[in-house]
Amino acid sequence: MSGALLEVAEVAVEYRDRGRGRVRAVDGVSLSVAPGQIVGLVGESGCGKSSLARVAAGLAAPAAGQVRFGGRPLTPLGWRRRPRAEVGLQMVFQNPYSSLNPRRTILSQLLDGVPPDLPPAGRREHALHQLERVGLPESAAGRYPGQFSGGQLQRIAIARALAANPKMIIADEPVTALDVSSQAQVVGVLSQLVRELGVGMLFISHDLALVHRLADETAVMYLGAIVESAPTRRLWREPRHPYTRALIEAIPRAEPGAGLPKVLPGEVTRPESGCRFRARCPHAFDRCAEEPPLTAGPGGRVACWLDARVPTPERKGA
Amino acid sequence: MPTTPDTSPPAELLRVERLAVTLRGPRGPVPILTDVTLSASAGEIVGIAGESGSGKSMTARALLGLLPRGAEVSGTMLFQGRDLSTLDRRGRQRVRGAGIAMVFQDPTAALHPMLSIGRQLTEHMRAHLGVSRREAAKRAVELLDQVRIPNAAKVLRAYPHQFSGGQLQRIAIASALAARPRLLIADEPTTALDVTVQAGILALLESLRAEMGLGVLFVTHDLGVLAALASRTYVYYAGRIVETGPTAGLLRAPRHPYTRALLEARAEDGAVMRPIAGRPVNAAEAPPGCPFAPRCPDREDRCEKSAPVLAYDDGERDGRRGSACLVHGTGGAR
Amino acid sequence: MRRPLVLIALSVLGAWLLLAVLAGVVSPYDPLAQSADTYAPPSAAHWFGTDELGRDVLSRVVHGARLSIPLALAVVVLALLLGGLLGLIAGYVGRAVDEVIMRLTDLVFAFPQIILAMAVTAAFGPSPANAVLALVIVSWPVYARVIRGAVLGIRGENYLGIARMLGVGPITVLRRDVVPNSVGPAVVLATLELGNAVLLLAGLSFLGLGPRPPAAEWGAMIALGAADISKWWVSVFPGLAILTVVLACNILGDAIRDRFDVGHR
Repeated sequence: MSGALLEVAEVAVEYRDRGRGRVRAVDGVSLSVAPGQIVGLVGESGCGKSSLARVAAGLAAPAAGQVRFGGRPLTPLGWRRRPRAEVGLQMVFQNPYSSLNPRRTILSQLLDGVPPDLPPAGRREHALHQLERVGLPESAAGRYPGQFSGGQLQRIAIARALAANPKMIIADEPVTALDVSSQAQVVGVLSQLVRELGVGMLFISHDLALVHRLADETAVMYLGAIVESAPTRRLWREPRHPYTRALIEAIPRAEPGAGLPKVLPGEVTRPESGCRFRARCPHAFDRCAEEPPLTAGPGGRVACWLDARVPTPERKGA
Repeated sequence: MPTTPDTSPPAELLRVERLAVTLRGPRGPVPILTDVTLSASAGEIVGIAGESGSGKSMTARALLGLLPRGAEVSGTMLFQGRDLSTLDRRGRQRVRGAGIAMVFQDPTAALHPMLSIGRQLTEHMRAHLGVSRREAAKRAVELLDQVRIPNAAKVLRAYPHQFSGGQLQRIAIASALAARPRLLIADEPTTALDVTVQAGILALLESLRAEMGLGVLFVTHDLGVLAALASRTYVYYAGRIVETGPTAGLLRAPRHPYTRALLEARAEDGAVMRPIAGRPVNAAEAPPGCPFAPRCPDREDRCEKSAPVLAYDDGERDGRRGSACLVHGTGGAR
Repeated sequence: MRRPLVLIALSVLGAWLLLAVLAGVVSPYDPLAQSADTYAPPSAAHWFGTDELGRDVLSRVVHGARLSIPLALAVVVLALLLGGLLGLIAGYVGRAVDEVIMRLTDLVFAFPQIILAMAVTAAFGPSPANAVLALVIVSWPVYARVIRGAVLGIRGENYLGIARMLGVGPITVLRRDVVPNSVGPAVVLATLELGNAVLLLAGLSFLGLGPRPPAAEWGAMIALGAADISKWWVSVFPGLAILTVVLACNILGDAIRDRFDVGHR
């Protein structure tokens, strides 16, 4: 994994729930992102992808495991100012309306992340340059967030992250809240950053088609764990985990006579033991009573006993 | 599966002619819908596609008489031959209960959080159908079976917070079906749901259509959903219909540049995701002439001067392709 | 529809402020000057009559504004600052700190305000400064709770986390992003509480725990007149003064709150 910009190693995330005590939202997830690479993370609501994003960005501390950024362990945000080296890791959120303080001008918020070593005159110029990069006029700088549409705000939020000269951006459902026309614009801006500036990106979305369009590598999460990860094209063409296949087949296609998308039966509840997908899996068999490990092989990682690369479990004790 | 026409023509449920809606704003009247003409039959799923502000949801609201106070409505809205716009409040309520039902994007909006599912389903029925408590309870179980919710008896005693979004949307559909409506208006019913859950709801609506002959007006921003579900589609822009026709043909060869742009802006298997220039306008902001002209790649001078009307192939309307474009459409200037 | 009422309230408060500033010029007599003309009923010479020492009640009411209104303002401003700071800390830091501060507010809330204020002033000794101190002690928890609630309301906003990720220090985030978005409700509350402060202050003076005689203070004046109801003018006019200020503050506070709520919906 040398050369990785962001490394998430065996990370677990837990939160306290009144009724149920400690709930494990993310359960030992590992992934890495290299400069100039887009890694897509897909999964449905409640799979833990947003919890993972917050921990990967340093907004929250993991219950177990480690996040490394630029080769050094990332310090979760606390009472100290974030070290300059870690400011290279930025995040774009789903809700653009919540990403900007409604009572500060755009310029003032763009200046937040401008490197402090720039001379005062250069700081303003640097901030305004970011607006241009996301396709907004400089005149936007003097205005307040309330004067912009959701799509424009999302581009401003991206400009704000860019002002810090990031090396790595975590984008958590960045276009989900936007209209079709703004979606394409924001996706265009994000992919341009990666291609032109060599920024690394973790792109989190429930929209597999979008991730397919964008990501070099895709990881699929189900109930807090990665069940498959592979180069995007391979994953799409030849999904190995039954859940990945179900996700791809559930996407409606705007093609004539596409037919109804395939239905995945059952509800998202974790079985007490074994493979977390087995209750809904059309191929479940007795071996699935034991949890399959996420196993790396040529062309990706997959956690399924059906896949030949996963070793047969050894009986413990008995 | 898209509907295939039977040998006998299906009964027409809904016919809307030249519907226009204007709301009262602080600075004078605000147009919301302009010249909307559409129809839906029993056993047919009809799609309405458009972005936010296109007026697609306002069409649904107008049909149910749920427009804000002070809204001015012109044109006709016939449901099974009766004019909805001339009905008084009680008449409308009767239609709303028994003839037309609606499901929304957020199922929790339709369900009371403090009442059991059983109580909500049965009270609805007792109010609209005047059936006994026992009959209503029996019917509630049937309804839950119909929307594929298992353990109906247990579910009836449960409360909304105990269900997932997908299950709640099924229950909301069950509640909408309680009074045996002929037409179901579904306003973005799957937008807030995950794809695998969405697939289930789409399959459910399709089976209700096939088994009960339910007519469905499906309002969405996602043309992909309509490809799978709707036999015919109306594409809205700026409060008017810019293109219509059988869904398959419309997707295969979109005529209106807006329909084309919508399709190209979608993230589909590796295709280029091309943004539409500018931002969508609503009816009140629409420029004179063609409302899409400022964003249109094929714009000509005349597009800014005269507004195109929706014109249909062969001079016939129902089931025909039609588009409102001076350059690509069959449409001529008004 | 409530516009005229708000306008009246505004002009009443404005008039009182003006009177307080110009007390020396507009009052016909020296508020402390005694005369032989004791307990004179309202007349052309003494519009509001005179009290037991022959002092002009009108002049004393006008000078009372000079005492009551600034003291009440001081109470409100100090309580807003103290309560606001503690509420901000409770909401932003959370956990144990939040727990301690909230239990402290519970403690204060457990007593009726006036009783607690009396106890505090009695302990420190009656004086205007101590009366203000006592009232600040009994009224800060309201502000703390309101601000804490507002801070909790915006704690989940992305812009706080984003600012921190961009390398902005926590105190700066608190000052620029948290405070401006959470003080609104407390400021509204302060307007409402101004009337309450005038009332409590008068209550303390009535009980002899506020400004010492012979200072002209509304509550103390009412106490003087209450001894003999037949000399009604001695207490009714300062009473009316309190009434108008409290009413005007309440109307104004309500109006601001309505306006505020609508703006955020």
